[in-house]
Amino acid sequence: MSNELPDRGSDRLRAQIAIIGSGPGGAITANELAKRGRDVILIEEGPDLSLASCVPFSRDEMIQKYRNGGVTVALGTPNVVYVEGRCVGGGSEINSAIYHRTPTEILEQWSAEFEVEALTEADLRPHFEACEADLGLSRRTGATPGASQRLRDGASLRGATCIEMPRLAPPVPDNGGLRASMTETIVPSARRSGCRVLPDTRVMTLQRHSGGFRLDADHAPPGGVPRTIRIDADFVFVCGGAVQTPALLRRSGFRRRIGDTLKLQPMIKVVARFDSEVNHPDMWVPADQVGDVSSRFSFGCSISTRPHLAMAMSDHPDSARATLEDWRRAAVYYAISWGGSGSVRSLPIVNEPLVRYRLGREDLCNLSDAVGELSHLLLEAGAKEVFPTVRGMRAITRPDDLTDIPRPLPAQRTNLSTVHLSSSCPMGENRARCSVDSFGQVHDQRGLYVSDASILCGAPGVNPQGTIMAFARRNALAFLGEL
Amino acid sequence: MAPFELAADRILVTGGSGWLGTALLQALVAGLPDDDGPPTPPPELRALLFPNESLRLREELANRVDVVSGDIRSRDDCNRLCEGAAGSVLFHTAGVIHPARIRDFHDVNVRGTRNVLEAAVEAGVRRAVIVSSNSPFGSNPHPDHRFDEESPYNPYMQYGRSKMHMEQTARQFRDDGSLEVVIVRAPWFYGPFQPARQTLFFRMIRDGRAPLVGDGEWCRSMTYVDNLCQGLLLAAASERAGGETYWIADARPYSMREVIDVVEHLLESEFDQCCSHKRMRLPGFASDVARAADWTLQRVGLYNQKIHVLSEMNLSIACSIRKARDELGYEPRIALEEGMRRSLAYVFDTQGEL
Amino acid sequence: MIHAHRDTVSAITYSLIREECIESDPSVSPSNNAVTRFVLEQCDRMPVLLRLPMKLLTLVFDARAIMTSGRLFHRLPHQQRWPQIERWRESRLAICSNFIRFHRGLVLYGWYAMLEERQGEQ
Repeated sequence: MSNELPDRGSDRLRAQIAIIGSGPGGAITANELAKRGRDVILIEEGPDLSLASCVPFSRDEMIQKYRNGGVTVALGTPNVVYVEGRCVGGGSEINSAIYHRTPTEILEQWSAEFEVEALTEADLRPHFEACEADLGLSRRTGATPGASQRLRDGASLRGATCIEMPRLAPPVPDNGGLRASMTETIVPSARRSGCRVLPDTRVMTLQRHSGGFRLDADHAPPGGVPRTIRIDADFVFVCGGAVQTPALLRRSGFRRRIGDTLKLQPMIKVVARFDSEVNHPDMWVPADQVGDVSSRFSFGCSISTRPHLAMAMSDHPDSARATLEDWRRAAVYYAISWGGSGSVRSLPIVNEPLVRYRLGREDLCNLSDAVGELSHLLLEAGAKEVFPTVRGMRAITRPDDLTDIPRPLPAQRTNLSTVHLSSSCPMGENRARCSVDSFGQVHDQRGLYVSDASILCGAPGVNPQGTIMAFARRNALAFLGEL
Repeated sequence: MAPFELAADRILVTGGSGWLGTALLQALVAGLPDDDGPPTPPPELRALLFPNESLRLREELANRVDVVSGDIRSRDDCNRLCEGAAGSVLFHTAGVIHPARIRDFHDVNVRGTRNVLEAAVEAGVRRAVIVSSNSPFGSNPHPDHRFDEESPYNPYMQYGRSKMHMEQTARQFRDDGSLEVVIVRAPWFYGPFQPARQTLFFRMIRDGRAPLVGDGEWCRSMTYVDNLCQGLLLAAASERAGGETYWIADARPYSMREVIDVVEHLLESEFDQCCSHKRMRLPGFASDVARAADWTLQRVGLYNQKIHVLSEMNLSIACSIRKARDELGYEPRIALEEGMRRSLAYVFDTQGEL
Repeated sequence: MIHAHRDTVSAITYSLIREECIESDPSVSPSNNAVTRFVLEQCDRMPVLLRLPMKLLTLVFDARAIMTSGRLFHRLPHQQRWPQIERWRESRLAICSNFIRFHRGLVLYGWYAMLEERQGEQ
């Protein structure tokens, strides 16, 4: 038994606290515990790459840092393509870094329905503030990108509000592509406090052992020989995300109320063509958003480089070439809604998760209304054509066309995606609904914790990273008895 | 185009009496026909010729080449070729395509190449340019497909396997750092100095016996010999080429129908030949049958050239020259019509008739 | 047969590029084979649950051409391949249209991504 990392020859490791997954939940937990002198090992399935290892939103990023190259699907009617980070830093290395605190009404709803203790806005404020100070928030310093300006103009004409949200990013000009990701901020801080980071290591199972836990993991360093290693720890925090966390727990035999209540925020995209330039290579994902949790959906501008424009035109092949040739006058927009429910299971033998999601008629009506409202907004802003990602739909060119949008959207022909998954192991004292307690400990499993998007009681209605980080910090301090 | 700068005092060539070897030696001595002059500074040339063969160059050019008589199957003969040639560039064009016995494929193409490269390493040769072929890759999976330098091996029978092993052997020398190796893959080459089988092909076209299998949409990349020499010289001269592989061919592939039409047109309009304008149309499965026969023959150690050639006629064997263009500045200057014109001119000049 | 999946993906990729991707400067156009390799690598990265059915469906797509053209899809010239691609794209069967949509999305994404990478180098 040794404290040495496997690349120095040992296949057995020991730590006081093992944290599985190094996205925002796991990284912040590791940092808070290590800062206070705990012996922590942070285990990550993916590679240890810097933020600068690839261009943001590029093909390289998809290959290096996305699970399964970005081809992961929640099965259902319709299917929902989702994205997971698989690298040190997890989703924070690949997302838009748009930041929201959890809306107060959402906290109130979760507190009531799931009986979560100490989850008021006042309880969480110090944790939001601490995370914001550690990572840094900023807004753009240059001009509003054309595509965002159109969103603003359209919103104004439709009587809606468009706000530029802050981003977790360094306050430098043209920071649009950069993120204050975990590898830029929290992971180095954790390392300086003595946290060991173990990348390229997939935990296959965890079991109780000698009063603590035993983790069996596949360690596959690049260019090295893959082998099995074992990690013993007194406490375990599972932070693999809303899909990997329940999958790991379930294959390890922890199944009660685990993975039954997955929530995601379905996103439908449209491509809008204008008669003047709106797009340029360094636009990235602008942080301007229309709508909030009180509306049924929200809108924003999506990554609109040519490869992404091409993907978004998949349902309109006859117009794709013209759109791509004239790409500076086109942009991709998204409408995000919430609704539906799903599950995560672990498939035996292949040990991969099976994710299923069901959207009901009302959810597809919401999405239809979202497409209609977004299209209307863009037409008012001067769009000549709007192409929703629904196979067989004609382009929307004038307000009259809006009545042709099928309601509900046809499940077989609608192409949805999501970047926000949560709630597969919800927190709270309501044992009929919750997997973990108010501070993340798995019910009836002393010493076993979850601290990632899984514990959010429901979809937060906004970009979730702010919520995940604040909850992780809160729960880490609760674990330490310092709350 | 400016003369090549080969940065070597001495150039070694195997296969000096062969078709490609002859064209290459001519280019090294006198420059390519469409170029500004031979390589600078003028290197010393030494060629390995098969015993009892002689250079096929004009006398004033042949005098510029030192001849070493030998067989690449003999390591001693290879040593004699490379003796005292530290820092030189070696072009390895020797090989067998239509052998008397099947085992010659391995003896000549693989073992012979190993001998040459071991001798080159021992003598301190700087770079070896190895001539390979399309045969390690079989045929294109679909008619519009083009092989590139990363296409996977799919060797077509024994010749293909022997050339694949030759390439793999050459890469071992590259990987252990003992020698800079550049592999040049050249599909079906044509042009002056061509052997008798090409002349037979022209005769068949004139006499209406040229086989056209299927509807002729299958494409072949071909390499006019001076285009290939340009590619070889660039592979030797370009600093970044060390360790790389390049396809060298004419700018685009040609369909069999096009090749036959062009040759027939030239024979009639420029070489006073009376063509019968017939084609021997064969259904696609004729090539499939020939392929089965070819396979059977090769399995028992026999080889029949005509069956082998027929077996390839309903296959597409075409490559992309983009990498050579991008990295070497390769630009094929002769295309099918001019290339066939020069080929036919060579045949009539040297033989008087078809 | 062993390579039918790979060769069919190649044939689909070549046809999609030919019909849908035009770059005015051929010296920066991505290589068809590079895009094909990207598509094949993405197929290999997919979860097992999706990868095996996709490979099987690709073989079915390849064999389907025998009924209309007498040859496997990947042995056909582009002019005979494109109608089958269009038929599956327009099919009312979601499995057929999604198959083409999947490949089309990957091919175009890969082609434009490589185009931008090449333009960035120049």
